[in-house]
Amino acid sequence: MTRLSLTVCALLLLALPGCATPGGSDASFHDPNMDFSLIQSLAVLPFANFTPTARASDRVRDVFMTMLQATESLYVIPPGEVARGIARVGLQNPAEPTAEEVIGLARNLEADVVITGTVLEYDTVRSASASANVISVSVQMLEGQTGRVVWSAAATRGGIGATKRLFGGGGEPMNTVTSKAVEDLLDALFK
Amino acid sequence: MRCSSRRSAGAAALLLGIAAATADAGAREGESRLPAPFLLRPEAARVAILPVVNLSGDEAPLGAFQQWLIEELQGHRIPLLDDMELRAFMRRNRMRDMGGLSREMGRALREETGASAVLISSIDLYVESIPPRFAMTSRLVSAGDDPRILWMGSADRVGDEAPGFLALGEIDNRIAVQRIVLDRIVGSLVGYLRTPSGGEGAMAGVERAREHHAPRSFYRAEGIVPPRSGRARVAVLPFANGSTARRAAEILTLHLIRHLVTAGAAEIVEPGIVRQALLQQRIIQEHGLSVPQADLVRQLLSADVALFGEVTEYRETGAGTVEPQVEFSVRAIDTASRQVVWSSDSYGEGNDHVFFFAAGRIPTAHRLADRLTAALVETILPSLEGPP
Repeated sequence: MTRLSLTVCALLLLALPGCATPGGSDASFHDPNMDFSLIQSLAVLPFANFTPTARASDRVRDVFMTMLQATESLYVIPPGEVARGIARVGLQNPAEPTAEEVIGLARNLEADVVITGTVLEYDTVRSASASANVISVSVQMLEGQTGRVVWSAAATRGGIGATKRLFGGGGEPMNTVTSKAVEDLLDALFK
Repeated sequence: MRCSSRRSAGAAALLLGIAAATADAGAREGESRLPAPFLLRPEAARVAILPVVNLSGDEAPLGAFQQWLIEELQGHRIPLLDDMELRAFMRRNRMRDMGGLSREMGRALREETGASAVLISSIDLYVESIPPRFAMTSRLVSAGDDPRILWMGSADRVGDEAPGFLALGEIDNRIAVQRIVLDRIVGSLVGYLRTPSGGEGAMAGVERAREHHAPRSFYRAEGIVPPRSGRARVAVLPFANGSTARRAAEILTLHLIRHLVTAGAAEIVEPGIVRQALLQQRIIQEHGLSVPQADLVRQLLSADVALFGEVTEYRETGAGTVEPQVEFSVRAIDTASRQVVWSSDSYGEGNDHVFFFAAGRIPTAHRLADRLTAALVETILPSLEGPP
């Protein structure tokens, strides 16, 4: 093998990890006119579940709420109180509220903002001998006074990277993957 | 061994058991008349052993375990309420819940039978096939107007968890495995009843738990609103169950209560009283506790903190290489300020900290839940203890 071939092989090997699933949030939007430092309390509505896994949205929402509260920057209204607010306002579809419904709910719960979310993927993916958990989630923050979107972000974590494709093996537990995805979302929120 | 005691419960008040037992025994017909020539706590004057509750999800010989407990305690000369008398009381009062003691039942039991305490036990894991697996939790609750948890213990054992050299340590006999568990629980209970501060050995396990099984993420307010009494009164509400194991929420709730009782930083409301209040007021916390419900909990149970949560995963070890897995979230509302003071998410797998062969592997979800809740309580404590 020539020196050139060896160099090309070495470069390819170095480039391979770049094919792995990237971390961090996929995309995010911040309303430039919104002062996020004024937010004191927020309500996290039940997430929509677009996955075949039953209760995936509840699990992700639970982790999201805990991690958001753990930042100690905001007060997260307890889920039972949110459920009561939803019942009182009469939200038909809590995962996709209208602007008027958001305003009503925020007033009822005394929340500055309301967060909605969608779990797009929550499953185990397989490729040859490799398998790994993957999660994809997107969230939106809606202002309580106007019902408009002030922040939006999406994150994907897990999946099978090049290393796993080459050498096989299992991925991280779903809880860990979920925590990482939520961490990405919170990084996007507080950046 | 993991067990616990409520340290403040009559630590100074010891009775000569022989006096209490014989005086009480003389008054009632058909009860154990075994002498008790040793010091006993007043709570041990006449203990009622309730029928064992099955939380394992598998069929288990519950009657045999109740009988086993009775014989073991009689062997240790603990004065017991006669089983026939207890059954007559249960029939008379239509007592159906064996998993807790409500105020009414506690009062009636005291007045009608003279029982001083009740032993409430549950089988949390029961597998007969090889390797046999068994787990049990018991708690001693005082009978009377205000039932209080006096002692709580739990143990589990898997036949092949310590195979040793050439697998000589493996136990295939289920009775032998059950005997180990029962001996630990009874030993701890008797130790509690005979000494002012039994069950001290529990904290060693907690240190290890904190190191390895701390919550993945948590929020903790720095001290709740100062409780009305000296210690915060905590009501642990039944957890929601989102796992595939049928009674996982109850098992986890018991673990949490046990570690809170062990820590001794707060007064824990007896689950039977909590259940009765929730039923009477028809409080259904479908998505957790709401603020008005927290107000009710404060009013009905005089609780400073309402603790609730959800078990999202509880997978016991199965055939093959399936590892135990436990995941749950816990929230606590300070009922005075009506604010969340605690929020956490815990998760663990049996092989989380295995680096060398199977050293450090946790063989059952029961034990994993125990470690996770122990670590959780260690982290919660500062917020329950209040500001310095």
